[in-house]
Amino acid sequence: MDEIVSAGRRINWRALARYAKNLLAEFGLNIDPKATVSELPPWNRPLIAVVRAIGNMRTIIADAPDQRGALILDEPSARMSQDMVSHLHAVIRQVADLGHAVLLVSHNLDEVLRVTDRITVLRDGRVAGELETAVTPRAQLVELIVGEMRGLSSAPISSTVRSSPAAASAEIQISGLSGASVREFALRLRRGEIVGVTGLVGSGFDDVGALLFGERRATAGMLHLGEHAELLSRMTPVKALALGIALVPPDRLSQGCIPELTVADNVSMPILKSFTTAGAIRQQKIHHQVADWVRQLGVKPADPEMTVSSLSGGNQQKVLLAKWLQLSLRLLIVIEPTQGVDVGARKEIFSLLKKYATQGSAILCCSTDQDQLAELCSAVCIMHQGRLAQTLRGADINRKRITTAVLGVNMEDSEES
Amino acid sequence: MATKGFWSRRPRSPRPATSVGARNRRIQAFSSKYALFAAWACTILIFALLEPHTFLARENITSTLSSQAVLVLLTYALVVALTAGEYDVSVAAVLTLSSMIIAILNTEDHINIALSILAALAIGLLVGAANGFVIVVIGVDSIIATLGMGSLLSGVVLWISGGNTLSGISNSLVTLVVVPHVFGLSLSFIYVVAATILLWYVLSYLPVGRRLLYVGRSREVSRLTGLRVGRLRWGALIAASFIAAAAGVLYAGTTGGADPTSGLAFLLPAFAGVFLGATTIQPGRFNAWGSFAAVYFLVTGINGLSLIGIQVFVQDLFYGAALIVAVSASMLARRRTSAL
Repeated sequence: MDEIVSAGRRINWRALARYAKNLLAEFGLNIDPKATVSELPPWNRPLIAVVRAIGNMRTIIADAPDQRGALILDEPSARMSQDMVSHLHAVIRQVADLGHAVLLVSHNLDEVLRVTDRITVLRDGRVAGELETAVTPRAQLVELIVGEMRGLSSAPISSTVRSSPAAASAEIQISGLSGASVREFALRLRRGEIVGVTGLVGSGFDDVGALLFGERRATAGMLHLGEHAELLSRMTPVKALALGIALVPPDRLSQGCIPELTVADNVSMPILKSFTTAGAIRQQKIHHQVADWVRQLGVKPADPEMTVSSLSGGNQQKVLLAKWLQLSLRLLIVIEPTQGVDVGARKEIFSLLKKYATQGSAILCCSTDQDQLAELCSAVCIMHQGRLAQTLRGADINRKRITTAVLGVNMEDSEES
Repeated sequence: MATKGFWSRRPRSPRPATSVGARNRRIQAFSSKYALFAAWACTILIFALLEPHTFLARENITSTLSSQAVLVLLTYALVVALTAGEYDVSVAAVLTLSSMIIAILNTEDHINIALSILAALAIGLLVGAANGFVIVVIGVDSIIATLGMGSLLSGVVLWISGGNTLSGISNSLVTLVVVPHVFGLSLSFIYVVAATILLWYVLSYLPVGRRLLYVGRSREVSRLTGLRVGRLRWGALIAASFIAAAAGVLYAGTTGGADPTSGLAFLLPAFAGVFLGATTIQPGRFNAWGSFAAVYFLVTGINGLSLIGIQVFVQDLFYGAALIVAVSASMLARRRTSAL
């Protein structure tokens, strides 16, 4: 560090760039130190934060070599692709092997089981248990996390969801959808069907949802809703909602809910008009109706006057779903609906979505979470570099098949090129 | 789909809500909600003890309530703009321009007073539309756009008035604004109470008021919930300028004339009022009754200080300090409501 800040307290930019490049290279990241972070692919950004933290830790330790530091990581792998995640895990092990403590906060059980030595499970703000990773089977960990919620777990998938009657017409048809990273995407959905869209990060699986809703503008594409046809290049959120299409965005606190407003304010947002009498809002009506509704959805506490920011992640997500599940939509698009949510809430969200589909809406689930897709979907579209590469159905819908399809397509492609 | 969302998010663990904690929080919420009124009561008590004969005289009370009607109305322009998440620092210039237009049209061009008022209000709408265009369509930060607009309008005022103070506005306007009416209160105070009720109703009970709040808190969430965000922001800016122009009408009526600079001095007190107002009644939200109370609290302080013979510069000190304290307090109130 001494050479980076020179004797005259000036920053030595060249030395700084060299330091950054070496540090990044050490962790196998070939990144130009002069590039701005926004130019980098999104899956690289979290790694930079991790590497910077390690670098900082080292410089501090360099002053006192016999001391050991602690690295705290909060959901570091959330938006990384598989190979980046294994990269990150290697980095974490490396740090631990140097004798530093690493505290990893994560909801990803595989990650926790793979890289940690000890696991502390928190439930409802209390320590539910501490485990030695080496002697802990996955099932035991899940049991500890789920706790009393176990009775509610994996309700049998109703036959109406899995095998929609052959007679039902394809109600929603998407064709030629292009825009953002997506090219020529096509899909048919029926009422009551849950279809997944997945792929590696950057494959465009999440853009499909954003483009359909008009959150981002498509360059081309048609949407047929029964008799009605709509140009996707003209889609806007206002128009999508008028057509009965809603989007549950991946980031619940900056896109989904307004955290400093109450649950009642957030849930009543899309249907404000229905709470008016002679043009005036009736706050009591909102209060009672939202209280009933969030209780039905299992939001805890079911208090409509709580601010969303004071709820746990899982309950925030349920509030976000409450906002849309109160409408009878033709198509509900959910993007990573259980990201950063504990296992108990995750199961509840699955059953909410399944129940909602049986009431006659189609659901498009854009996610990289294979377990989630296997649990929910009757068909899963695999995206690769913006194109629809494969569609899995029926018996092929399981974690293994989805994972291999997502990665397999990748291998095929690298042979071609 | 920005990655930053993930890094800025800190999953919170649910706190078990103990009844003691909930009660303490309720007491805390109550005391912060009415702290302003306690401060107001203290101010009144202090000056009542220091200057019992003048401060508590009926003429002093009624004239204080009436003379600050212009400031209260201007504060409401800011309530609307800030609720929608936009800073409008051109409102005081709009007020000045509006009063100057009335004075020029009415005294120099001998145009009917009603038409002069309509022209001033129309100019208000026009300025708001221009602000909206620059802010919403071009995407300039509102504080910069309106700072420029405010300076531009002050220039226009100096230009059209030649830097002169005009007087002799039609008596019918003066009568409608300042003639004492109910319990010695002038009509301007009555207008402002009516405006408070109207603004309170719109912000609390009409869907459009609720939508402004949503847009002000998060444009992104509002957009994804199907609100017409651009239209709402633009509308709020137009409404703000319109209210400022209406305040200009009151100002012209109060003074019976117009001068090119004195109206500009309302800007800082109005900001102090709106932020102080956001700490009370509905803490964390810009609200009508809170702003009403806040302005009169500030005015009480200034009035008392001037009665005990403290010099004019105290006004600036008082308003400036109040603005900083108010913004800090509303920041804390906001943090508290989101932590509740």
